[in-house]
Amino acid sequence: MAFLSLQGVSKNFGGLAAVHEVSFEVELGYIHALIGPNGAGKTTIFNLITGVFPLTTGEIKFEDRSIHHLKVHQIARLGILRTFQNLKIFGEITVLQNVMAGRYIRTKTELPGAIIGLWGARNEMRETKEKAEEILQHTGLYALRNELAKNLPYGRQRLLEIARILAAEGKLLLLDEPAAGLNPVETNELNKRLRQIVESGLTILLVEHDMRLVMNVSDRITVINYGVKIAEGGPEEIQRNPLVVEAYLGKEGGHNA
Amino acid sequence: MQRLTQYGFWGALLIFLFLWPVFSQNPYYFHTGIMVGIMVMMALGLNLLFGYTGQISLAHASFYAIGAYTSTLLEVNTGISFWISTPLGIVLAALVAIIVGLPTLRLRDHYLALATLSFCMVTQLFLVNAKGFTGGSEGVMGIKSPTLFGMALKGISYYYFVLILTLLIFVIIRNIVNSRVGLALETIRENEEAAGSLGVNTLRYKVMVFALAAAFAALAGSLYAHLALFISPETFGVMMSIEVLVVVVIGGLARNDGAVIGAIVMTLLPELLYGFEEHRLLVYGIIMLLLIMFAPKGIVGVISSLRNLVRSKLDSRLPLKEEGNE
Repeated sequence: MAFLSLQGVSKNFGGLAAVHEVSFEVELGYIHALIGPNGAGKTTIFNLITGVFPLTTGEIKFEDRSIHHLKVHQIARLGILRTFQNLKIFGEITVLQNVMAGRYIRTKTELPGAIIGLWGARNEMRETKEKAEEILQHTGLYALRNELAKNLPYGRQRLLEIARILAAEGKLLLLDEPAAGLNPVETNELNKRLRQIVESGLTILLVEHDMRLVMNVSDRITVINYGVKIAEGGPEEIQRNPLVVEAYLGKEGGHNA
Repeated sequence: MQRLTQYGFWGALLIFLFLWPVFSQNPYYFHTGIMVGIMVMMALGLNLLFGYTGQISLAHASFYAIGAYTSTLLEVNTGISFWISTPLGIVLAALVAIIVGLPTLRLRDHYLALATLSFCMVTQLFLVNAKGFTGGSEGVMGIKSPTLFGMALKGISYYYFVLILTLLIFVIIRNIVNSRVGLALETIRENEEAAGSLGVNTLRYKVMVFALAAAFAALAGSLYAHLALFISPETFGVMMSIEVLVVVVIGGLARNDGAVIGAIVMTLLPELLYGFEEHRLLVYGIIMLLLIMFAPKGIVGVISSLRNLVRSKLDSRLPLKEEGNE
């Protein structure tokens, strides 16, 4: 049983086929990269997996159950969490609050309980805060915890988005260009962090343009071009694959590993 | 230290609110105090919806009206007591909010504002035109003060009643805001897509808060009706919705203490605006503009900034001050 599987997935926007008959599987505990030139359909695939758009055809299964008809928040509840290509942090609240918010699916106080202010509700918030502080320590953001998220430098904001979904203790993390805008030092740290995350039992599906990072950190790579899968395999195979090279050099010169 | 002065301020305010009637029995003061309480209730509800959850609503006057009209029409026509008619009005307002909210809260920003504005206008039109039912422009007369244990709640007794209810609502709102629900609401305001991706059912929360705010507005409406003892459609138009919004913005969005301060300021403002009543809208517009330009965090923001300014001036005179604690 594959952890996450896409079978014959297509998505049309009006007359445009953004994604066409894409099938691939993500194995439990892997770091699986989804690469391809800009506009190839990678973020669309993310949006399809997370329920932002409905599929035109095909199936998406997580832990052997169909998820493509579920709503966004329901899919998150299953333990599938994501970051966004164009950062979506919660700017006007603090770094700590951002990470606490990430813990939403692991807590359960609802309006009635909140109104009465039962002891359970307050305990839950306290635990949430502690867990969030732990994660902030882990990711080196602790010192910034009371800063408004909008005031952080870009690289830290990217890290915050990851810290936020770590708080959910999910199963599958979809990271959309986590290295975008990071300098080489930050990218190196990201590399290590991704490995740590997977070692703690999670699985990662990664969209990324930084080829050095991709080749270094991935267990398996799926290559998409013009909405269609053109190659799949381990890093060495992919680097040697002529179709892949052509897709990148033919389009924009790409980054070379 | 900052905490202490805050507690001190609010503690003093609380004591003042409970004890001033010992020194004066002026009925006008009671009336004003009750109106402030009513405005605070509405502002707290709207602040939860707008300040915390980020959903702009101009429909508040409609729910205010539903509370006022439902309770009084039931009492006047069927003789049931305030203690039953008011909860019924509150429940009705919440139901209407859910029905209206489900489709409407899928809209954002300007579209949401327009939709809620339309609902507000439609409600008022209904009040004016359904003469057989609502009394039309002549309104509802002959409203009696609520009675508790045989005693009529008016003047000082009504004041304390409203004060206690207002405090109750304040505590409820504060509990919500400090809980997991409150944080989820703020994430909806900040970035709805991201909130959804973290498992938050954004539509459900938006409708829930809309209904809760409507419930508080309905309570406020009924309390108003039983203060004025007469209601007519004029009171329940768009101006009312705008007033509550101005209170929330003046006080400082997502700051409940701001809602209280805003309500006090706004209720007392007409006193200062004596002679300017027709130009209320203009004055509100200017106030909003000035606020947005110079004090986007409202009165509370101004106070915060002043406090920070004072603190930094004091700090710069103490060269041996240690590093702040982390």
